[in-house]
Amino acid sequence: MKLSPVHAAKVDPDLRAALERGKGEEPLRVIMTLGPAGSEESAGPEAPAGISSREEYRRYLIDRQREAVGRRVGETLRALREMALNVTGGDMSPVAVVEGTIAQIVRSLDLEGVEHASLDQPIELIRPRRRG
Amino acid sequence: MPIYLVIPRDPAAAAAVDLSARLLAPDARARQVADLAQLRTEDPVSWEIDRWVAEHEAATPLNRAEEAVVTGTRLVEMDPEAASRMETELPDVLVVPDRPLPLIRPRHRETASTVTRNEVDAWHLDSIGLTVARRDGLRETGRGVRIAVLDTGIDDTHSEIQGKVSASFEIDRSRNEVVQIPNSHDTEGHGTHVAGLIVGRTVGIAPDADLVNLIMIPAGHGRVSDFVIAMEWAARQPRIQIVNMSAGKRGFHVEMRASSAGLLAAGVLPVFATGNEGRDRTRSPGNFPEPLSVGASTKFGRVATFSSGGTLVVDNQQYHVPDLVAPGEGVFSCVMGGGFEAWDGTSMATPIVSGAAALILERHPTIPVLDLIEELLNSCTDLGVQRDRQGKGLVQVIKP
Repeated sequence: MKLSPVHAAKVDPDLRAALERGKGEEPLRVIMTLGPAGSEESAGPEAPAGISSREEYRRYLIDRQREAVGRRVGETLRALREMALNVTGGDMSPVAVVEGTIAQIVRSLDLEGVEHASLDQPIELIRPRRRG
Repeated sequence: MPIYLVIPRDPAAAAAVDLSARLLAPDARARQVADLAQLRTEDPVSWEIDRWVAEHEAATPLNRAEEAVVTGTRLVEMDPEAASRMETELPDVLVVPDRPLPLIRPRHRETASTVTRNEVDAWHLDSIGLTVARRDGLRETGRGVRIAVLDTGIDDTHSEIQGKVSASFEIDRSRNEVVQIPNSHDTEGHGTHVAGLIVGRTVGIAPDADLVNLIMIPAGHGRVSDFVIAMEWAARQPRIQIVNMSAGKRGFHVEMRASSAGLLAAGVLPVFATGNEGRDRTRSPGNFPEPLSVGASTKFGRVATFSSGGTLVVDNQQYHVPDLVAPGEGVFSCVMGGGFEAWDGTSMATPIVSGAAALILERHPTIPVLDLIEELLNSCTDLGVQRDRQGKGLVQVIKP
C-alpha cells in the first residue's frame, strides 16, 4: 500500500517496507507509541503521608500513572479500537501492541495520537558464555 | 604469555577445493595445497585476523598466513584479555587457548564444568562487599521484596532456589496476555542461573527476597511485543518492586523506551543488562536512560572486555551506559537439574544489582525509585576506567 508522507514519517523503515510491499488484508502486529509527546509523569514522588508499606506506595503510583497515561492516550486507544484493531497495553505506558490488517494499520496512522509505529521484531536473550 | 589458536569458523576455503582433486599422489597434493593457499589469500577472514593482530600490540603472531594454508589456523601469543577481546570483535573466528596434549591414560575422567556447592567460588559476594558486610552485622536479606525475573524461566527444584519462587507466568500470545502457570520451570537454563544470583542460599545476594518467574523469552527467543506486554503487566502488580531482564535488540530501538519509562513511573526499578558485544555496542532496552543499565566486572576489578557500553545522545542529552557494573565474568550460579557453573555475561551482573537493590528496599520500603537508583550509584567503587565502560563503578551493598 502506498504511504503518504505523514504516514511514512511515523513508521520505522522495517514497518514502512512491510506496509508498502504487503496487501491490504494481510495481518500485521505493530508496536505503537501514542502521544502527545512530552507529557510523561515523572518517577519522582515520595510516598504520601500515611503510606508505610511499599505495596501501598506502589498502588498509589499505579493509580497515578494509570490516570496520567489515560489522560494522554485514552482517546487514541478508543479510536484505534473503533477501527476494529486489536489493542493491548496503553494502560501503564503510552505504548500499545496493535494487531490488524495492513489497511487498518495504515488508516490508523492518520490519528494524531499515533506518534510512532514499528514492526514487531524478535528480541534475543543476551547469551552468556559458559566456562569450560 | 599464553598462546592461542585462532581458527576461522567457516571452513569455506577448504570446502571450495575441488574434491575430485583429492588424490594422494604428490603432484595432486601439491596442487591442492596451492589451491588452498590461493583461497586463503582471498579470504576476508584471514585479512581480518591479520589486521586485528597488526593493530594490537598485545598480540604477537607466531605463524604467518602462508604457513597456515591448510587449516587457516593462526597461532597468536597474547594475554587472556586480548584473546577475549579478539573473540568478541571477530565473530567469524574461534579463539582457543593452546593446551597440553596429554597421554590418553586408561580410566582418565574429564572434569565436568558443573561443580557442587563446596566447589563454588563465590568471589562475586566479596567483590560487592557483601561478605564483609555480613561479617559486620548486615541483617538485610531482601525479606519482603519481590523481584520479577523476565527470562527463560526458573527451575525452582534446584536446592538453592527451592521455595523462593512465589508464582510463575508466561505470555499467551494468542491473547497477548500474561497468564499464570502452575509450575515454575526453565525452558533453557539462563533464568535459573540468574535467579540463583538473586536469591540463592549460597550464591545469592538477597536470599530472602521472593521471585516471580515470567517466561518472556522462552528458549531464548522473544519479541518486542512480549516485552511491551510484560512491562505493562509488571507495572500493574503492586507487589513487584524490581524487574530483572537480560534480553534486547542490538542498537537503539525507540519503540521499547516508553515501556521502560512507564515501569519507572509506577515505582518499579528496571534492572537491564547492556549486552555482551563489547565497547561502543549496546542493546535496547538496556541502553535507554531510564532503566538501571548494568555492565560486567571481573574478579580482578576490571571491566570485562565483552561488557557492552557506550555513549549515546538522545533528545539532545548525552549519557553513558552502563550506569554501573557488577561481577559478570566467571560467576558461579545454579544450573537446571542441580549443580553450579561459572558463566560470563552481563546477565550475571544484572541480578547481582537486583539483589543489592532488594537489600536497600528492605531497609527503606517506601524509598522513591529514583532515590533507590541514586543509592545504588553512590555506593559504587570507581574502577578507574572510562564512564562508558564502568558507569559510576562497581556496585557495593549497603553497610550494616
